[in-house]
Amino acid sequence: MCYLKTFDPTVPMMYFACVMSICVFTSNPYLQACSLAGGIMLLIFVKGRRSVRLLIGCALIMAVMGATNPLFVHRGLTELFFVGDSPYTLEALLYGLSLGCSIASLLIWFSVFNAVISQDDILAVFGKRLPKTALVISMILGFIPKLRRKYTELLHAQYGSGVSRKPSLKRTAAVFTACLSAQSERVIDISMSMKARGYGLKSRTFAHRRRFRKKDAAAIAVPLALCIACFVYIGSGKLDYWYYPRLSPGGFEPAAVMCYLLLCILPVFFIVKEKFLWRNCPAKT
Amino acid sequence: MEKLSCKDLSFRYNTNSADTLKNISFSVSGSGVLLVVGKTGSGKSTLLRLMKREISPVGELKGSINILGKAQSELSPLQSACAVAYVSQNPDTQTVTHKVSSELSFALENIGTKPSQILSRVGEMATYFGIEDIYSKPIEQLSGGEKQLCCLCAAAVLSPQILILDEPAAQLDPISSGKLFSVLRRLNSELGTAIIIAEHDPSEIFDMCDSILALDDGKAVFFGSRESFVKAAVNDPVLHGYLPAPTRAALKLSKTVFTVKAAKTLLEDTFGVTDAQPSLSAGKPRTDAALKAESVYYRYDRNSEDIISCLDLTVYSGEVFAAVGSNGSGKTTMLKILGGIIRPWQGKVTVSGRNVRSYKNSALYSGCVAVMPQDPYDLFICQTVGEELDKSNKDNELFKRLCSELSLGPLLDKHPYDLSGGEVQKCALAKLLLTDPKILLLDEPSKGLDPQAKAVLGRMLRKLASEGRAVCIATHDIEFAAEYADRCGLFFNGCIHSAAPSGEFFSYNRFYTTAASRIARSVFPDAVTVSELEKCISGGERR
Repeated sequence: MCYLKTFDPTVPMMYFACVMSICVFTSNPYLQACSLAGGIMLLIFVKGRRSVRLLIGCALIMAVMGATNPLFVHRGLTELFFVGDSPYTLEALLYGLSLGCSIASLLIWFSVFNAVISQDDILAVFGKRLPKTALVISMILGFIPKLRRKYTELLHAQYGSGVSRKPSLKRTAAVFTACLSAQSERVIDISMSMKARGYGLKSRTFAHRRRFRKKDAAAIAVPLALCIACFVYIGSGKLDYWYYPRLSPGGFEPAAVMCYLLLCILPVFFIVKEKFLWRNCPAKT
Repeated sequence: MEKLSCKDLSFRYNTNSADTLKNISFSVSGSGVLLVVGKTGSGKSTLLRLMKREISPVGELKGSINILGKAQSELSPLQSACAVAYVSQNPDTQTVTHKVSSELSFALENIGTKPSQILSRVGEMATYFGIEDIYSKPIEQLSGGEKQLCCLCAAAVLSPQILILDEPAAQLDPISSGKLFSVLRRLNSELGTAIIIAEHDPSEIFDMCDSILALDDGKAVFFGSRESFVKAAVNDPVLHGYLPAPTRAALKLSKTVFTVKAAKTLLEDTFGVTDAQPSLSAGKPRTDAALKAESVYYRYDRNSEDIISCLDLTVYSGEVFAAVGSNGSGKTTMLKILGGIIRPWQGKVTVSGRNVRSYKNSALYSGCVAVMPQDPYDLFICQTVGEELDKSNKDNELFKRLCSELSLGPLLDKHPYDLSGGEVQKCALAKLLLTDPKILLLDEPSKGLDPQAKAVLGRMLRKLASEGRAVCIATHDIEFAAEYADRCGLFFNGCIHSAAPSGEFFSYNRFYTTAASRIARSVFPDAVTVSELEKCISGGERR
C-alpha cells in the first residue's frame, strides 16, 4: 500500500478512471470477469480481512439479480423451465448475472478507490488546476465535523434541560435549526478570519506537496495505453456481445481481454514490488 | 519609529446613535507590546478591528490611524494584508480549512505565492514554532490550545510587522495559554513583531508588555507605560482589578514587581521564611450527599480507551465543588455522566439517594438536576430569551423572582446570540433555576468572562449553595475555583484525585495552584487568593 502512496495522486485517480470507465459501459462478460477478478484481488490485497463483508454482499447481489431477472424478462430462446405460464430462460439468467457482476465490480472498485485515495489526494489533484474548488472542498470537509459536534452538544444540552430522549421529528428539526443558526453565527467570524488573511486579494494558488515526476508519468502511461487499446477494440465492434435471443457466439478477442486483464491487475505489480522492496530493506531490522 | 499610531480616534456604528469609541490616542513603537484592558462592551474589539483594514467594522470613523508611517487608507491592499495580522478569541470559528497544513498555507495561497515557496515558508515556520507534531493533523482533532496556536501561526505566516490579538487565551486553560504566550514572546523578542493584545486576565502578558491602554465605555481612561499604570492603579479600583497577583501583593509594600519570582523574594526579604505547613481544616464527616459517583468508567466505544476511569466523587448539599484540570482531560464527560446525560458502561451514579437509572423520562431534570453546557448558547434554541424561558416556566412566582434577582427584564426580548458572554450565562442559569434543581452542574462557567462578570457569577454560585443546593463546576480557572469553591479536586487521568477544601487543596498543591499561593507559600502558607495574601501582608509582622 505505501508504495502506491509514493505516486502523485493523479496517477491512482487516472488509473481508477481508466478501469471504471470500461467496467461501467461494457456488457461483455469476458471484460466483466476481468474487472471483477482484478477488483477482488486488489480488494483483498488492500483491505485484507475487512473485505469479507463486501465480498459476501457482492455475491448476494449477483445471485439475486441473476435469479430474479428471468422472472421479469422472458426473452431468450433456451427455456429452462416455466414459472406459471412464463418461461425462465438461460439468456435472461446470464444477463441478470452480468448486470449483477457490473454492479458488484463497481462497488468493489469504489471500495478499493476509497482505501487508496484520501481526501487530501483528491484535493491535491483538483487544487493544482482549480484552487478555488479545492478550497471549497477543504472548507466543507472542515465544516462537517464541526456541524456534527455542535449537533451532539445541542442535543445533550436539551437532554440536560429535561427534553424527552425519545427521538421525534419535531425535536430533531428544532435542534437542527438551532445548529444551523449557531453555525451561521460563526460564518461571520470565519469570513473575517479569511479576509484578515488576504482572501480575495489575488487569484489563489495551491500548495501541493509533490511535483509530478518522471516516475509518475511512466506509471500513468501504461494504464492509459491499455485503456486506449481496449477502447479501440470496443469501437471496432470486436467486443460486441448480446444475450438475446441467443448468446452471441463471438465477442471474445484475446488481445483486448488480455489488455483489460492487465489493466485490472496492474497495481498488483506495485504491491508485489513493494513486498520485494521491504524484503530487501535494511530498515526492516 | 512608530509602527502604529492612532490620533483622536472616534467611531460610531451605523446602527448606533452614540459613539462606541471616543477620542482615543495611542501609539506602538518598534517592537512594543501594547496591552488593551477594559470590561466587555468597552469597545476593545471594535478598536482592534479598526486597526486591521480588511475587517474594520462599518460605521463613521473620525481621527487618524497610521501604520508603518503611512495613513491606513494609503496602504496597498497587499501591504495592508501582510503588515498587520489578526487573531480573535474563538479558535473554532477562525479556522477555514480542514487540516493544519492547509490552514497554514491559506494566507500565502491567497496572495498568490508560488507553491514551492509556500511549502518552504510553512515548513520553516512550523519548525521554528515547534508545531510539526500537529502539522498533518485534521483541525477537528486538535485541542483548543493547539487550535489557537494553529490560528496564530496561520496569521503569522505572512511575517506581519504588527500582530493584533483579541483575547486569544479567553477559551484556553492555563497550560495552553502559557504555550500560546511563549510563542507570542518569541515573535516579539526574536522577530521584533509589535503586538497589540486585549486580555481579560492580563497576568500572563503583564510582564512582557511595554504600555497599557485602558478603555471604559469607549473612552481611554489610561494610556502609558506599565510602571505608570501600576502607579495609577493605586487609587483606581477598576485599574487595580487588572493588576496581576505579584504586583498587587508588592503594592501593599509600596514596591513594583511583575513576576512571581520577584514578589516571592520581596515577601521573603520583608517577612522572613517560615517552616510552617499550611493548616489542615478538621473535616467533619458529612452525610448529606446530594450526588455520588462510585467507580464509574466511561469510553466512547468498546474498542477505545477509558476517558473516565474509576471515578469516585461525592458532592454534598450546600457546597460549591470545583473539579479543576486542563482542557480535554474529560471534565465535560464527567459532568455529563453525573447529570445523567450519558451513561457509563460501568459504575453507579446516585442522585439524592436514588440511582440515576431509576429516574424515568425527564423526572431527573424536574427539580433534581440541571446541567449547564460549556457553551451556554446551546441551551437556547428559540428565537428570543423570553420564549426559551417560558418553555421551562412552571411557576410564575419563581419566574418573576428570578427576573428581578438576575435583572433579566431588558434581555427577555433579545435573540440569544445578541447577548454578551456574561448575559447569556445569566439567562442560561435562569433557565436552569426555573426547574428549581437541587443539584447544579456547570461546565466552565467562567470561560470568556471579564473579571466583573466572573465576580457576579461567583457570588451567584455562592448564593445558590447557601440556599442548600449542591453546585458542582468543572473549570480550568484556578483563581475562580480558589475564590468561590468550598472544595476542589484535581481531575487527571480519568478521575478526581485529592478532593479537599479549597484552601487546603491549593496551599498543598505545588504546581497547579494560584499565583498568590505560589508567591506566599514560604511566608504565609495559608494564603491562597490575592485578597487573602493582601490581608496577610497588611497584618504580617515585618522582620
